[in-house]
Amino acid sequence: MKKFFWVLVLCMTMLLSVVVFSKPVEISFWTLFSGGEGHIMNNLVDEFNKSQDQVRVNQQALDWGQYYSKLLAAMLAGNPPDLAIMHKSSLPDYVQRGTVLPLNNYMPNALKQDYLQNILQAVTFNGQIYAFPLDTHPLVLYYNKNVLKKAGFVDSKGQVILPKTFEEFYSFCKQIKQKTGKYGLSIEDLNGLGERLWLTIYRNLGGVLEDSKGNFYIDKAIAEKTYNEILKFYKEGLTTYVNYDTARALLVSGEAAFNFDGVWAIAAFEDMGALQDIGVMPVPAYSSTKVPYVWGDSHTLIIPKAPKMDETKIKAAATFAQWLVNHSYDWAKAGHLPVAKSVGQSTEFLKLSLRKDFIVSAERAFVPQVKGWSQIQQKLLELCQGVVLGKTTPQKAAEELVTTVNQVTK
Amino acid sequence: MKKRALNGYLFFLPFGLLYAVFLIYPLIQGFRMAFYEWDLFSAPKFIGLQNFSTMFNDPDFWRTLWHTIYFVILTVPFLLILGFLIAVLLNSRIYFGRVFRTLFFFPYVLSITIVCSTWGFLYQPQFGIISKILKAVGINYTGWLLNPSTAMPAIALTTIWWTLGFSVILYLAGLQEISPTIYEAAAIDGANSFQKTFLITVPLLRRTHALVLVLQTIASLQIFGQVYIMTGGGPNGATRVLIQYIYDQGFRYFKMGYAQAMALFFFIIMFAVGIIQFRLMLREGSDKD
Amino acid sequence: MKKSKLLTLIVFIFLLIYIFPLLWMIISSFKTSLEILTQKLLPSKLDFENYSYIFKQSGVLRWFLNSSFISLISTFGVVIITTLAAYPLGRLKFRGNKFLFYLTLAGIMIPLQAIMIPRYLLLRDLGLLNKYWGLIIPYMVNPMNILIVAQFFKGIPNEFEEAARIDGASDLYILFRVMVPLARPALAAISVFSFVGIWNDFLWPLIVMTDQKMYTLPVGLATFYGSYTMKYGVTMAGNVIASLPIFIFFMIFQEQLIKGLTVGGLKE
Repeated sequence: MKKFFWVLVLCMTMLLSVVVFSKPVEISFWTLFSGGEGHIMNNLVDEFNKSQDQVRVNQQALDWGQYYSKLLAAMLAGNPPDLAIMHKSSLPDYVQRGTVLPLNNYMPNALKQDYLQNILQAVTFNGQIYAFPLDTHPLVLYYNKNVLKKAGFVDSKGQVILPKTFEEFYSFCKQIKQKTGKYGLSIEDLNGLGERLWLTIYRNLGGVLEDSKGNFYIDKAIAEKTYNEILKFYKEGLTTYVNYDTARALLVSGEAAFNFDGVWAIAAFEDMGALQDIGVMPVPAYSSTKVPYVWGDSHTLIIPKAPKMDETKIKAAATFAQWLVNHSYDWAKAGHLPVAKSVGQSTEFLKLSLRKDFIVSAERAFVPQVKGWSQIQQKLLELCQGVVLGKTTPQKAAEELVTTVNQVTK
Repeated sequence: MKKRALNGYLFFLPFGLLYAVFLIYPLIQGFRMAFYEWDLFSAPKFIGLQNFSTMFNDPDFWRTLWHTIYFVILTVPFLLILGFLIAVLLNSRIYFGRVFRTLFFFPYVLSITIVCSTWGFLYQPQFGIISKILKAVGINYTGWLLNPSTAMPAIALTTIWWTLGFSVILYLAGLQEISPTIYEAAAIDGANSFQKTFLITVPLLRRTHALVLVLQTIASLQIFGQVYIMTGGGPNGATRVLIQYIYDQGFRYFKMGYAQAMALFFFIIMFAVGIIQFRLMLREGSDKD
Repeated sequence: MKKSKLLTLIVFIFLLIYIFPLLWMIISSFKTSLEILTQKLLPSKLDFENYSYIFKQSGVLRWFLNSSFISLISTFGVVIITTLAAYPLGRLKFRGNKFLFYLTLAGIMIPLQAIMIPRYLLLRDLGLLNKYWGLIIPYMVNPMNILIVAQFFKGIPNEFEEAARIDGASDLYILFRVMVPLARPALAAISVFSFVGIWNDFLWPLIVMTDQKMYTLPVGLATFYGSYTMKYGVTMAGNVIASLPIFIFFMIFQEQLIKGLTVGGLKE
């Protein structure tokens, strides 16, 4: 045992000395990507490391479900990573806690100007920029061409016919069920249903997220209507209650015609070799909707505050972050839409398949930015599950949601 | 004599020190924290009993408490009955008794992650083997962890499978203490093996029953990992248990005071069960003296 | 007494059902994703793809070493601390002995979950978060073990101790040269029992370790099972790899483990 301990000590010392004496600045970079996304990020990090010898990025991919608990715990313990991915929706909580380094001095003006202005505003609090936005990733609607064709949604040229409004989408689902016996829709039971689709429908029904004073707000009547809109798909057997991988499998195997998922699913479909049967379109809004919205969060890069901050590491982290944003056409292969104008107009991005089919979603994308969001989010997931499983009514769910929102934001 | 006492305290010191620092101190801190509002980032704010009034008015607190008790109800009786029956079988006149015992006991030493991810795979709705087997015998049910009414029973079944070996071992130890002469006397009186088991063994193992009951209740009240891994508390919060709620409030939403108020409540429950355990233990001690 | 074939058969069949999940885990670890999705009963060939994926892509080896290191050092510490503390409680008569005994006894009434938050903060203040010692030191505090060993010490006949005392031996000498060899079964039982408990712990490493490289095996494996990376074949292969050392350990120390459970159990 003792021997083992000393061997370990020796190894640690060696590791340490390598870090201390070699030239490049080492920075640790936490991400939450896996599967297709994870693969692309790995490649990007490798490419960056190979492209120069000043900075070395050590990526650590954490489990999606545990990511924020771990990140916050590391911040509390005083040993956060030098650079970390953070969703735009989580940013207010972290900025408010004083755990994120303001970046005004580290972000070059050229980049500030290259960003879409709405995205840069979303990461600015009290005049300080707190993150490098990397992408925006809205909810989109995937469809299985074979099922649509079988149900007769095909024109004379053999092209599939797609719904233009949410009302049409609902009637498509009904007809698909009648004609083919397959599900019209598949959607996963967690964030996809309770957060992403729910918020999209809520806003397209005219629901707002801010009251007149600018506080976070949920309209009870519209919330109830939103639950009813979702519930009817389940009540009429147009969809079924499934988890994430099953929802995806139902679309790919042709057991369901439509599937709501984030743009990142494109990378997964590509991985599975299923892309020839699958198409993608923006989430349709209601005919009554004035301004169409769709849920869409963003990945951003933040530099966590640490008790001892090393200026060279901050600069190195900022260098890498900037490089990543400028190379986000590669990142876009995962389905994400770029937020730097120069990348959005680049040929590298435009030649990617399918992107033109949903690029409009980027302009419609929104995500709530409110302190205490993780708790509201959890409630959203649970209430929506409760409604579609018949454990609670749309009315009760809407009431409980408003109560929670009031508690969290008070 | 003085030196003896000094040595006594010196020997106890390493443990005593760690005990004071890592058990007593956090316990006292925990009591204090329950009266504060604190997110770890700003300064703690004394709010008196407000955390407790929030707790008593929080429907999710009561729900998660009920789920915890529900889980105890779903697991403990089976751990008692099945544990007893298997122990009796293993203790009876069979071949390979030791091999069987080993295999029944093995799942108990597996880590919770292995157990839960394997069972999660068995329960998988689309390609899980359980749904497939049920389909083969004409039952078309795939909900399991996705259905609020079966999710908790499914987790309970997994837990029973995992910890049954512990009950079996305790019962086997109890059985081995029963003198064979009692059975021989019963056999002379013409008792069959069924009667022997239920009229002699069951009452004689009174203390073992109490022990299994208390230990497994304590273990079940502490449920967290199974839920965390298998369902994350869903669907619709149907499997969220008290420890997980405390964990979420503390380590996800960083409401340290509130989480600690609930932790105190949990402490009181465990303390009550612990007193029963305490008495069993002291009685055992005096039997031996 | 005659053994019954019928009873053996009944137990055997029940056992087969009982260990089926483990068999299924092993079989599935050789299946490709497609074979799992299409519900093939058996893999078409012995495919080690999932296993090589695990060794290549992830920190399983590191997690395994972490778990081994933490469990071994903690168990070692448990045995030393327990032996030292159990001796005065079980053998020495002095003022305050009873007090220390009841103090220790009270310790088993504190559920760790109830103090996880203040303990986490304590570790933070001590700078022990995300460190091996942040797990190891708290693991060493286990009042139950002390009561078990003290009870065992109490049962050792006085003659052994008296003979040594006449020769003028110190308490320390008596403890390590006389008592410890005699108490070997009890010490073996608590060490195996502690080892398994620490190896399998989930909640505490989940809270203390923030860096993926510092995870223990159970916490690390749980990340495989995250809802967005459902690779069942790989997960099952990971489970098989993680079960193997525990299986070997179990086969070697089974008797000690059972003793630890029953002694601990009966005394609890």
